[in-house]
Amino acid sequence: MPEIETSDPDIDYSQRPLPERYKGHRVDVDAAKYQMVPWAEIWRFRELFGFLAWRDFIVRYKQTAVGIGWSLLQPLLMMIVMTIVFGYFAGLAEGSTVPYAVMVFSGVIVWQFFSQGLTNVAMSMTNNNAIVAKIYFPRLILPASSLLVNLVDFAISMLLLVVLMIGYDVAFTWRLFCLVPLLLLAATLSFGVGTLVAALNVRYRDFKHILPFVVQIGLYITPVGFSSDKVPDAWRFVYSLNPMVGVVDGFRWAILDSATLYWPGLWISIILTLGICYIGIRFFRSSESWFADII
Amino acid sequence: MDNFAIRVENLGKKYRIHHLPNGQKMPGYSRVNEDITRMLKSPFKFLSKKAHEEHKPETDEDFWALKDLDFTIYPGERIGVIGRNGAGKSTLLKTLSRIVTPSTGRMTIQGRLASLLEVGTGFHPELTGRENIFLNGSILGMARKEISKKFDQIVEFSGVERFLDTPVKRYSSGMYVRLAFSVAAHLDSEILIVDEVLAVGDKEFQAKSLKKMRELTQEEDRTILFVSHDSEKIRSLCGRVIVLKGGRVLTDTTDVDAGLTLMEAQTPAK
Repeated sequence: MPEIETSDPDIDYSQRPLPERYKGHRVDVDAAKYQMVPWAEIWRFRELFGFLAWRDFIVRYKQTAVGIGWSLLQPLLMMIVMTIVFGYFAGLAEGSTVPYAVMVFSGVIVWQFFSQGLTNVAMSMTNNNAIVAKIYFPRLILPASSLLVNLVDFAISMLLLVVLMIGYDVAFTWRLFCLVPLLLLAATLSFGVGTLVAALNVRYRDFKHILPFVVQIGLYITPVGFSSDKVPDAWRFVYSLNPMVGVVDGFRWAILDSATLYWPGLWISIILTLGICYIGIRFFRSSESWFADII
Repeated sequence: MDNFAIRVENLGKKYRIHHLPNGQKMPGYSRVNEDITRMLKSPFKFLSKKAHEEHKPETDEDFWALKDLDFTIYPGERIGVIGRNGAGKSTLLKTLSRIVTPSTGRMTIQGRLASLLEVGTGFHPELTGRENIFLNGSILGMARKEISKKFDQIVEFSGVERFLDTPVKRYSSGMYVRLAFSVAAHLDSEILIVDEVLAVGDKEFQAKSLKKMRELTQEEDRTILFVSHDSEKIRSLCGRVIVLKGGRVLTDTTDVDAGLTLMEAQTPAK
């Protein structure tokens, strides 16, 4: 061990006043106290939130040839396949009053946003286990920042949507503004389900295997490749118990002038989403105390 | 007086050990079947934090990793936390860092606290050295402005200028460690919790690191909690030691040599 200056003047540290730089950063931790969403704390860590989202974004397409082009290709290819399979092979395009490709694409973009967001949020804790086990920060930051990345993908698909709408001569109406609250609804839903799964996945890694399967099934029970008008009226209400039905229908209604909206479906979706989000965050927060112990 | 950096009152951390029918033990957080039954029986209770803590099957045993801790740490102190394996050092550091939540008691921290429990927390292999400095700095609690300001110093201290734009996955382990430590050494947090694994690299770099930590406390009033098994390092850095045994404070003294002797006199924990 190389010699280091060890002489320390005898200072009684307990008698010195608190240095200026220590002031204004007081934190009280009490085993008996609990707050559902620690807003003030999250605000203090807002820069970390941004950095984590930034990291997820630039890491994603490192060492790929197409790069961010994948954000464009994925929804485009999905739309083409679904239009051909559902629209022409299955014959669902017959009698459709709107361009089938645009109808499918408006479902695809919101479904992709939801399903990728859900997957990212659900895996956010386990994917970042190294940080979770070694550093403190309000844990809700991780799922939230992983959702943010999806917004970039969504913005790119929106550009594609505009191109399609112009190509198919679809009119732009005021309803397009409704996409914002509808997107928020989709984000809330993926955050709610995602945080629930994220917390469970810390304990039981089974969810890593269950989730892709559930997302895949979700694609078929949600009207992405077809219009929910194809569902018999008697079943419409039951069908809407899948909260994504209301979201996808809402998207179509907002994008296509001639599409009609089944309002009870949208209301069911809003109520279910708020309920699921509450349960998700609540469960996540109540599990948070042992994340670092067992992750 | 309200001039402390860290004040800990009656702090305790409880873990649960689950006894399997065959006599083996495992950490007993929960089991799927039990969880599902509880969830179905009372879904709302299941969602509350309290229910998790109160629920205790007969096969489980409580284990206190920390118990009845009371101490105060003042700005400018360099404190060594020592003890045999299993004495609760890591749990204490993790609790103070707020990574794990205490089961009992309370603690108050004045000043920003950064925990350096491993080298390069949050380093992402795909990101370049430059990008990782920003990411890691932010994870350790630095503001972006502060990182930009200290960027050149960090790079200079680490000595990896030439590879700043190379992904760190292509770094040698030495370069990786030096870059990580450099970020940590330039944090502006008032309180640093440092695990000995951080004093890494060759002898020269280790000495440089210890010297840097010392300067931080003497010139900038920082507070350092240092955990180590190495008596030499404790002696050369710390002015006070807290000796832990079985999750409790055995001694808390400014007589570092006496504390070290006491620690060495103990029989190793099982």
